[in-house]
Amino acid sequence: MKIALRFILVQLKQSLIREIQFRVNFIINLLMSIIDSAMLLVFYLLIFSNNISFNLLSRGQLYFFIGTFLIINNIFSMFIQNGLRSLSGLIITGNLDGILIRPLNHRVILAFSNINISSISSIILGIILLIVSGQIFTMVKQPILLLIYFLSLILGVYFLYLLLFIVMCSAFFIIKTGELESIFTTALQYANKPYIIYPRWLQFVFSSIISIFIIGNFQVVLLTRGYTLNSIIITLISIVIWDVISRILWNIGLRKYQGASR
Amino acid sequence: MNINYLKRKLVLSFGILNASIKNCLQYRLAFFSATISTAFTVFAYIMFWSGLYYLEGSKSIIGLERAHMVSYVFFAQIVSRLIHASDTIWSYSNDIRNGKLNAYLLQPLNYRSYRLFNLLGGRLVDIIISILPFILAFLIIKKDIYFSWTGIIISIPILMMSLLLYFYIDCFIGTLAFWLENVSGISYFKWVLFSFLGGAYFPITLFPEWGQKIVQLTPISYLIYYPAQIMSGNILYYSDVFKIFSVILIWIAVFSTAEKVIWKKGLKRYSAYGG
Repeated sequence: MKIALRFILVQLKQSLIREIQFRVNFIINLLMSIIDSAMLLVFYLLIFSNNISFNLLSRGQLYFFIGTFLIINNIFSMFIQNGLRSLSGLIITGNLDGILIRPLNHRVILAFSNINISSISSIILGIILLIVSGQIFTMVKQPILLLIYFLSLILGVYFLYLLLFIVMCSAFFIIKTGELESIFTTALQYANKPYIIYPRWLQFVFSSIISIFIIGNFQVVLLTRGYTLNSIIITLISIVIWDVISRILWNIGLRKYQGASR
Repeated sequence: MNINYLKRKLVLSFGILNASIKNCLQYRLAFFSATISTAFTVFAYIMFWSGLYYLEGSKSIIGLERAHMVSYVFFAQIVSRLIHASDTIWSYSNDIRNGKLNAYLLQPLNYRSYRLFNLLGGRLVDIIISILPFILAFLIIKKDIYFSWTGIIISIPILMMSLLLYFYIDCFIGTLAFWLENVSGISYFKWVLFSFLGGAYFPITLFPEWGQKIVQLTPISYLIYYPAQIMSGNILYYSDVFKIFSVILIWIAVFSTAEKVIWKKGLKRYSAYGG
């Protein structure tokens, strides 16, 4: 654990040095990230400006949803996405050995090997939205609710990690995985919409089978309807199942894998 | 220009087209998965708008009935998939920065034509592979959408022109690689901007009036919004279609000329080892 934390800190430091070397590039990336995230906010603002309400969701709750989605998505994008995306390349070129022989958990190395600091602007936007929504202050009054909220943020990031990890592991079996990444982006397209617009059966699928509602919607339900032990357990079980699937895929893949090291 | 010269050029162009098709067909599963993902993205937006109409309990949102909105989103996503999936900027940037351009400069076909036929080959395979999931999606939502066969037929030349316009915009951005270290940031920004302002997820009538006016002054609305409007039968007057066609032609001329000028200037800066 200690080594893992040190590894992450070193990566963070390296990434910061790298970004500071090309300051203009860094500023451009910060802007790109925030514009990309702001598009989602503008989309919902446009809907509200045309007098379309989400019936059951207030404007504040919608800000809370977008804020939470942005925080989870961009924490993942900042710390994990770039590193994990290199996995398929490592498998195809036979350079995965370099990761496997290191005295640190391969999952940690893969996840945190390329930190992208520029996503921090979107995380800040997400936090601002949470504050503007005012909903987070309701949660502060109930420490258990707040604790579940923070745990659900971590689970959300972990679920995104599992999803991309499974997609990247497909490189053990097929050569070109670039296009498969679109599965991951599609999942985000479903996650960035409020749960109430989906039919009931799909709400069940997204909360209990493919748990993409953990990226924003779970937290809105937590806020508006409170939580039941059942819903938390179901979400946890679903994520554990995805975790098991990712480990099985990884183990089968490793048996097929051939390194290029001499 | 004699017949033999034209014949040689044609054989060369078809050769590139053929190679591009074979290249795309090499990774059928990856290609198919991208198409399936697009189909699922289409459903995400259809569900979003359908859900919104249901929640609102209203017949019309921004002047569009549910069938028209769903139909627009369906066709906009198809158009978006067709024109967006291009690696022209990346190819330009990669060839210029890594000095691979030498090999193309020596060939008897100009670089831009090479990239165009490469793109067309890819699109052809894309259409063939995409057609099944989209027909399936269409059959599922057929009852809920409005469409006209006339609109679909009229939209074919408009779509081709939009694809060409997108290609020239990409070429224009790609040539900036002569000066810039990395154009991937601009490329991503363009993608986000064009998808959002171009109407890939909703009709641009959702914007306030001043916003609509600004978007209509740019080529962005001619890439997705207008082709999707024609396909979904919201624009059927030939005069309107002709006007859209003419404006796209003008934008193609603008970007083609700009790209040629920048390409010439860029070539003077370009240097590479070997061939």
